[in-house]
Amino acid sequence: MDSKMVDTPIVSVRDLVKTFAGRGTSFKKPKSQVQAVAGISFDVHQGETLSIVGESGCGKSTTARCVTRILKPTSGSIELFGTEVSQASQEEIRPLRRQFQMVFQDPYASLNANMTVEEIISEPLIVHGFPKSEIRDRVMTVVQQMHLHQSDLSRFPHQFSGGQRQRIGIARAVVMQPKFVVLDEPVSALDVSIQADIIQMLEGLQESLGLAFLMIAHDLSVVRHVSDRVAVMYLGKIVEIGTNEQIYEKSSHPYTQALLAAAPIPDPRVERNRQRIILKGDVPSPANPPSGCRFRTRCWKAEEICSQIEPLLTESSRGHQVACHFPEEVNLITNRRA
Amino acid sequence: MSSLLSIKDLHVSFGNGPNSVDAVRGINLDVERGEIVGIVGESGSGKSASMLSVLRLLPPTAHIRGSISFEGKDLFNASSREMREIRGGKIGMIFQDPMTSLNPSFRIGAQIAEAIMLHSGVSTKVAVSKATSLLEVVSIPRPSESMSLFPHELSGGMKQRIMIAMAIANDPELLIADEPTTALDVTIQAQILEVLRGLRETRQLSIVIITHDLGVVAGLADNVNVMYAGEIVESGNVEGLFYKSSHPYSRGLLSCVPRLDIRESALHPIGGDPPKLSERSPGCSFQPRCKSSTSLCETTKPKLERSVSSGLMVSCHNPMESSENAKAAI
Repeated sequence: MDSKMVDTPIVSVRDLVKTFAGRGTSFKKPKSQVQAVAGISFDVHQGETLSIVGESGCGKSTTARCVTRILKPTSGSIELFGTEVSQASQEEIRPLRRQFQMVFQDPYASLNANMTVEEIISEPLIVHGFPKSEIRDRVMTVVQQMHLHQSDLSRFPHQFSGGQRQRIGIARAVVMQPKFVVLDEPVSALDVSIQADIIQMLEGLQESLGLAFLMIAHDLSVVRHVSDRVAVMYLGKIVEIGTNEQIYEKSSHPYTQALLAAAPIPDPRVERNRQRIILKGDVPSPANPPSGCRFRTRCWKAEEICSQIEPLLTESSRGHQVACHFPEEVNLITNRRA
Repeated sequence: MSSLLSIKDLHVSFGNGPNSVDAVRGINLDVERGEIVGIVGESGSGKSASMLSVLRLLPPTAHIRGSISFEGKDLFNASSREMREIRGGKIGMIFQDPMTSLNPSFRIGAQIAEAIMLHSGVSTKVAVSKATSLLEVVSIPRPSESMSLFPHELSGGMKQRIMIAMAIANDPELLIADEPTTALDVTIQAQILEVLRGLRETRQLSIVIITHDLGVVAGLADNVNVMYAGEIVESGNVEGLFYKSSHPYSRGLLSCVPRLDIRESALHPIGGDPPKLSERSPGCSFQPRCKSSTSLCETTKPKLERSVSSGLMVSCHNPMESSENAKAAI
């Protein structure tokens, strides 16, 4: 049986809400509240990649940080490997941290400049009290997996290029042999010729270690390539979630369709003959989201009902959920098989 | 008739002695009237440095050689005063980061009007009304009210539109756009690209667009130049470049990016890293990463020459066979 078909999810998020205190206008008045994540639910199964896409400010990174408990959610539940962690203390979570890790967006900022590569990669093992001999073995294995050289171990982060640094960041995450890794924009800071290299490496790791990925990204082409399932977020809500094929070939939410239509395709004949959807205006402020459907201010289908009743995520076909009063399946990309 | 902008054998280097960095290593580039020229390449390939030298905006530490002429006028030997008239006058420029390109302490209307008054000497009233109509051109909602906003009240996409409004305020002949959409979200990127397309249609504006995004170039440019390590390695019209390219680097770039409309089973990374610009090799700079390199490539630099089969300008000793629909062939 395919490992992706295992039914119990290893990560299960329900009604996750994260509120930040906004900027106050006066000392007397209470501070405004910004709901960065406004009640979202999803599961991640063993060995699969779920990607969360959306534009800046939609709450996708906040979601990732709540799931790894770098942030404490305001409400909702997060189950990691069957343990409820949403309100747990850091001490309670620490033993679980062996099993889930995170890779950050900026490989220049996420490595300690004063540590050698060996120190960086072995630090999580030391924190979790592994014996010295095992630390050495694990570091060596992971260095080989990530196509780094043994001589790199005594060097410092500034001696590496962006792509190599990202490999070090990934090595630090997988050295714990986790089951679940959160990738926060893992390739968006890298040049295109390096991106492919990192993506391949991640895919290889997923296959050999049976890893599950939660990937945060904004590049829809990268997401298409690596994901099993995709969730589209807009202003703190999931507006559409489904399998790769459902999102890319049968998208039903107008926002998903606008995102797909806006992502450029590097092929002049295809790109110049595509249907264009140009949205009006910008994303509204999450401090003051529109009533009803949050997308209605930019939506070309919006009607009276959209401002009054918030559409809920409803299943349109198996595994495909859409939050829209007027969903309509559209295939915006003429598909080609490679 | 001569080209609007003509760059001949441009070299740009920074610093002196053994630590000097050669950012641009002898490029030739022509921009015709009403044409959109794309320059693609990865970070450090010299695409920004070459365009900044057109406007002489590089710091004094930069050593520039070669010749640049605009409407037949030699920009290298133009006086500072003449350059001031050209910058923002005949040639407009927009930069990657709209967040830092506007003055935070002045209202946007005043900033656009200033750009107009500096160049044409019209009255404040005329400048303000022209600024308002420019905001309409770049699709800012409620132009007259938006004139009195401060930059911090605008989103990134709005700021980039203000930058475009300023760049086209004096009806330039040429617009240089340096990664104009890189800092923006895709739906906002689509809006900005639509504005640029409209400007070419309505004003016959020539545009040089610098980007690392092949998709943006595919949708916008007429001609494309691929840069690697300070050199143009392949150039030609957009369809030729995307379907018939024969330089291993251009082909590599095209096949390593995942596509929205194809779910490939595997990507094809180029492998290795771009060279450090302080290194100088006698041969081809792509040779260490190239799969089809020979001993000739290590010792002799290839020249940019027209390929008979594709009609593109290619600098490679062993160009790959160019076949229609190269993407599927790889």
